Amino acid sequence: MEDVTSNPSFRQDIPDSLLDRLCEGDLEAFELIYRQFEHPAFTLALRLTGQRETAQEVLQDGMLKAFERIRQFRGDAPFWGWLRQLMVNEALMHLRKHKRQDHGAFDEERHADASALPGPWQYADAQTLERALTQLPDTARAVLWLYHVEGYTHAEIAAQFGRTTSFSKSQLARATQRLRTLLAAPDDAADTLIPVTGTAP
Amino acid sequence: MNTDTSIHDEHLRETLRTRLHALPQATPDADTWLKLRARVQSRKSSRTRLRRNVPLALAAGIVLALGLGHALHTDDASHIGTTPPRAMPARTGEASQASLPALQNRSLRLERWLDELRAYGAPLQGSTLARAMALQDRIGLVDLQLSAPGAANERRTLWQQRIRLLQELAMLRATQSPLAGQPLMAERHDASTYRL
Repeated sequence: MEDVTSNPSFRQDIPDSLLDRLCEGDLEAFELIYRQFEHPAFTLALRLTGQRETAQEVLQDGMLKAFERIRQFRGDAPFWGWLRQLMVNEALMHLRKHKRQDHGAFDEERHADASALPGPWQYADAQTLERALTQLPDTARAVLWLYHVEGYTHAEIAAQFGRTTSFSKSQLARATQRLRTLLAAPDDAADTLIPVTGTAP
Repeated sequence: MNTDTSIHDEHLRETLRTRLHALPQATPDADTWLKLRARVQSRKSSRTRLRRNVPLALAAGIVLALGLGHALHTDDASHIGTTPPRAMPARTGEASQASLPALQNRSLRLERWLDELRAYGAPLQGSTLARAMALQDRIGLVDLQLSAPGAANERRTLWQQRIRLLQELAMLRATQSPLAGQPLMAERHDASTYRL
């Protein structure tokens, strides 16, 4: 039976006293904060980058920046939001460095037809869904995760990528369609993704 | 019909959202904290070294610049080096007798020191920046004049001017301490990167 109790979430309050100690460069305080956020931060990094090794780098780099830049945290928003934004920035920076492009055309008509059917994710187990996520193009997967799980709006996602809201909507539709295809026929659909290196848009 | 489609789409989105939320969270490698702590400690010690050594280097540089000021008024190129020359009263008239290679050597040393000051220093701001730019413009003018052929005496005078301007610029940079208590340049940049 799949584990549905462990939903990764950044929404954890940190006592001001702990943040004060972090500001003073207290390594023990840093470890406490790291331990509190290591799972949601790593999960976010993994979902956005799709690769465990890259997610490890993102986690370390993001946490290190949090430690070094804690004085820039103004306290007018929750700490977890600041940390999450750091991790998102770090992950997207890695994606821009190692971009995987999706060369498949987005078939609006096919998507429209398919949307009348129940989503195959309803029946897929967690492992299958995770595998399908890793097979999505990087940008589409990141948009899907930021929108559905992290609760970013299209405008916020567009700002993250330096693009328009149409871009975000289009990437979300593309991700949903591709996910549907991958889950419906996992072996065939994986072949349609072509990993390539390239530069940021 | 449209309403039905809309409800259906919303249901699909909601199902997907629920399934994504329900995915188990991932666990990083067990030694991640140890690696992270090692990186923090390594950076801390680098920064401590920098904060300890740069003021010393700048202080030594100021002494060197003052020494060069004196040396400019002597003809002995051996006074110029890592050890500041002995403080001597300037002797009027000797500056004009310094050889051209000696002056060029002093100019080169000052430029190298300026490069180091730039590398370790905080960016100049406000009136200091304006003064530095004015000095750089004047150095540029001297260089322009030096690029044209001229008599040896004239060239010596130009090189002396160049050295004087470089000294002023170096003193200006050396007195703008970038040091203890201030965040490093790289740290200040990202304040605007994070939108919350």
